[in-house]
Amino acid sequence: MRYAIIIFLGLALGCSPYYREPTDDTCASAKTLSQVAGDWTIEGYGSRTKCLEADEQRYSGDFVLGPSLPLNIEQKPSSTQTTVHSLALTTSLGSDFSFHGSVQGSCVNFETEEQTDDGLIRYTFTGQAEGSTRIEGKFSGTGPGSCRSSGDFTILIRAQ
Amino acid sequence: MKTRIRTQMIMAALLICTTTPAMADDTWLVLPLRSRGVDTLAVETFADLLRDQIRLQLKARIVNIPNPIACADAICARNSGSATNANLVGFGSVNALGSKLIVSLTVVDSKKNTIAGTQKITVDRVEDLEAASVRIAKALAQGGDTEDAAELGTITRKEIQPPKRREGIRGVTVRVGAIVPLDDGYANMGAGVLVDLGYWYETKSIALHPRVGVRFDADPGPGLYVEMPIDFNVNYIFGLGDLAPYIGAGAGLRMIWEERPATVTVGSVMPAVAEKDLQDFGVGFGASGRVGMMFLRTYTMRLNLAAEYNVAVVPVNNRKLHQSLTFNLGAIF
Repeated sequence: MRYAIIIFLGLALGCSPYYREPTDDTCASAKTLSQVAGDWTIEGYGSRTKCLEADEQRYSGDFVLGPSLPLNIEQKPSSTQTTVHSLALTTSLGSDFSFHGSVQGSCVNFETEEQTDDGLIRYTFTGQAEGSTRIEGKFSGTGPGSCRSSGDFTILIRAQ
Repeated sequence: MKTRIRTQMIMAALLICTTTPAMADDTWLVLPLRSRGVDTLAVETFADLLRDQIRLQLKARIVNIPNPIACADAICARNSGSATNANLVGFGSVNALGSKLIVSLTVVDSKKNTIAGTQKITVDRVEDLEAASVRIAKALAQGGDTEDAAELGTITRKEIQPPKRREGIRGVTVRVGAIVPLDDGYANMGAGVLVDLGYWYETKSIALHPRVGVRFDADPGPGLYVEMPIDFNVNYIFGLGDLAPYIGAGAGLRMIWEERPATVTVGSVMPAVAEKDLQDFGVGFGASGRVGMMFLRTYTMRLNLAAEYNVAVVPVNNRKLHQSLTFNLGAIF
């Protein structure tokens, strides 16, 4: 009986979607390094919370992220790690916007920062490349002001 | 005895009831006043006040005698005056009659053996005796009776109060109508409903109109505004007929609450877009100007039709200026 339970649990866990969902570790340990360079268009859905100040209340709640302006991203080998490539923005979108990120296996991580009239907006994106045309994942961020944001995103990549 | 009676009759005949103005260099003796039903001390105080007023208003000299008699007739008074070289002698009474006090004073010219004057005045209460002393002295100075003086012969509490003023037509006014926001104020919404409650005070040409009101969005869709004016208005009415145009202006407080539908976009490279109903409340200053027409002005209930321009300086949702036109029909009860 004890063995039957162990076998059942093992099968149940083995078949569960959670178990199959790749983690950072799994995407980072993927054997092939994803190639994600190209023109990125970022879209997503999220919500802002913890907007404490009265004049920040207008930012709280659900929002639609993007579509962003096309971001021309180049992918280069990292100087320190052979299994990690760095991501950089090749076209300037002004001094108010900055981008930097990395690719490890199929894991794609990057951060953006934009100075807006409403305040500084920072996002941290953590996703997984699906081939070289799409990245999906989650983001979190701060701003404007004391607001905190989080949500899901999708990046469509148009190869150069 | 017969001779004495004849003498008194001759003297009485000589005491002709002529009223002549008192002269400035007269010497007066005001005898104690008799009283019935009135506090003796109050009557003595009145006699003192009367002496003071005679001295002030007639510029006369007042003399006193020891143990003066409260005379009841002219002969007694004349004799008292003769004893003191006073050419004018006042005697009389303060008597209660129901709730009234009747003051009577007779002045005898002791030199000419004539009655120089008779004053009679009625007051409502003891406190009014002070005013009565002034009035009697004034009548004596003018050489007439109190009844003939410019002022009335009766002093009442009402009379002492400020003179009556003209009364305007006044009443509660209720107005209903529509508000049409201008520009992008009032949540950038459309026409709404107006209800005003006020007080209307109307004179021949001027009408004062303090009011409190509420105006709100009539569209059931997204977005909402509610405005509450509390202000004071002044109107000028042209004409007195049943159809009278008027113009007016007012100023006061404005309270605005709005729920403004808005698209909130944060960022430009990577915009985050949210559809929101931005709620805000503000209090500020407001002013208005109007043209209108009064109907049935000569009746107790009047109607009122007006068009009004309103401007409110109230900071809500980053907008300060809210302008509107209102059209309303009101009744004044």
